[in-house]
Amino acid sequence: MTVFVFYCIHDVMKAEKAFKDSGIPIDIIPVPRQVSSDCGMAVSLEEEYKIRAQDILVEHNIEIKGVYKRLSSNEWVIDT
Amino acid sequence: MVDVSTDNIYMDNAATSYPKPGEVIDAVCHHLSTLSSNPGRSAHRLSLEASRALFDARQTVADFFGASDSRDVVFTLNVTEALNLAIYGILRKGDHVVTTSMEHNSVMRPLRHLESEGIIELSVVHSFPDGSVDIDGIAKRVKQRKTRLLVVNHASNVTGTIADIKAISRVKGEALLLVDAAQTAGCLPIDLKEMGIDLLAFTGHKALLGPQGTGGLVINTTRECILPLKRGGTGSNSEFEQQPDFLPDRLESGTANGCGIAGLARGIEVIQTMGIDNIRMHEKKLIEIMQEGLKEIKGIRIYGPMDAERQVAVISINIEGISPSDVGYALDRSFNICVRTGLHCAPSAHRTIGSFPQGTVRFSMGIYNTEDDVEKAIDALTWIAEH
Repeated sequence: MTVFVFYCIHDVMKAEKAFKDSGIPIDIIPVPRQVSSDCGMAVSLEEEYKIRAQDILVEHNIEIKGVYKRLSSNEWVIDT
Repeated sequence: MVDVSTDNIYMDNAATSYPKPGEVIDAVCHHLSTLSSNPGRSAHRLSLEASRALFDARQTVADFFGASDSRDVVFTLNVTEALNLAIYGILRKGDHVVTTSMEHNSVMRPLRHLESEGIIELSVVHSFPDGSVDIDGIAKRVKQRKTRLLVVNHASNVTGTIADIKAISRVKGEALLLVDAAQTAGCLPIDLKEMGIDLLAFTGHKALLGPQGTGGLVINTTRECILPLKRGGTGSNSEFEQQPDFLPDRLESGTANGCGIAGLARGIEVIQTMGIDNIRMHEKKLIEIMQEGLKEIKGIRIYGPMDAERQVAVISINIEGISPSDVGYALDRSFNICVRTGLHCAPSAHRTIGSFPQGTVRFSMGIYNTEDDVEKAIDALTWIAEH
């Protein structure tokens, strides 16, 4: 699982809309404890959609704070 | 309890529009009954739905006024709070401010306060007796490198006189133009970029048809320099004890008026469906009928430009020998016509048009007023003037 972390909820909402419009399946989840974030919510998606999703964020001018990958249930790494 | 449900002719839309469209009432009720949880604070489904509603409303407002990004829409309690946010958030010691004598106290009082504290230097440009703005006068008062803010009413709440914002923007120099759209948002087209507006303060409960307790500041430029009026919880940056620096969170703290904002957004959608040009046409027709009828009444004084092209549906009058409050009382108790009398929180505007301190009787029409309402108001005034 990949998680996108944003600076604020406004950007999470904006990203959700952009992903929905582009047909990318996502979920909004509370930010995992191990992931550093300013904002309490994050977007999770399957890894296969990561590149396309990042392109969509650039296209919509939505700033992303970080991308994380889940290794195990409580292990996350930065995934740039 | 007073029965106010029937036979009222409501002509106080410049204060608060009434009635509200069924769609707005439904939107408020829907929000309260299904998704009234806390937006932006949690990732549970109800909170997310509330966050989405707030986000969608922000986008609706941004699109309606031509803002480039919905984060530039900051929700406030009303236009007064939006004006205070802009005025106190931007002005610093030594700044010069230009405004007009037709402003409401929501502009005058914060500016006079800052002036009396020795923080700003204030120039009030005298408007013409019909309420129109002296644009050359503004051009003369704007000082290079010193004037920080120019504050102008888009239309007067006393005379309805519309200001030519585009022309005013051309003389603002380096100053930021803050427009008070209390009387125009929802009944005149507004486009920030096209009109050269830097900051737009609006309220939801007048021509935008929303509930009371809604409004906002829309920022076209100068995102960085506005300081918050209040600081507190935003749902973001929770690990820090300092206010976040990004919009809209920097300027919005505490739980938003979610159900009210949902109603405001629906009000805007109702206007978009009706078409703002159609609304304007309807109101112009009412102004014309009203002015034609008023002219025939003996001893009446009509304020403002007397030209539907140059005003919104706000008409102030006085009847010779009768105080405005007596006229208002008679209209209400004998004719079921609701108007507002007195100074309309705008003493400077009344001085400008020559009606201070007694004020005027103000009729303000909205989308639900009919030609029949206007005829009845004219008949009532005719009767009052003759008795």
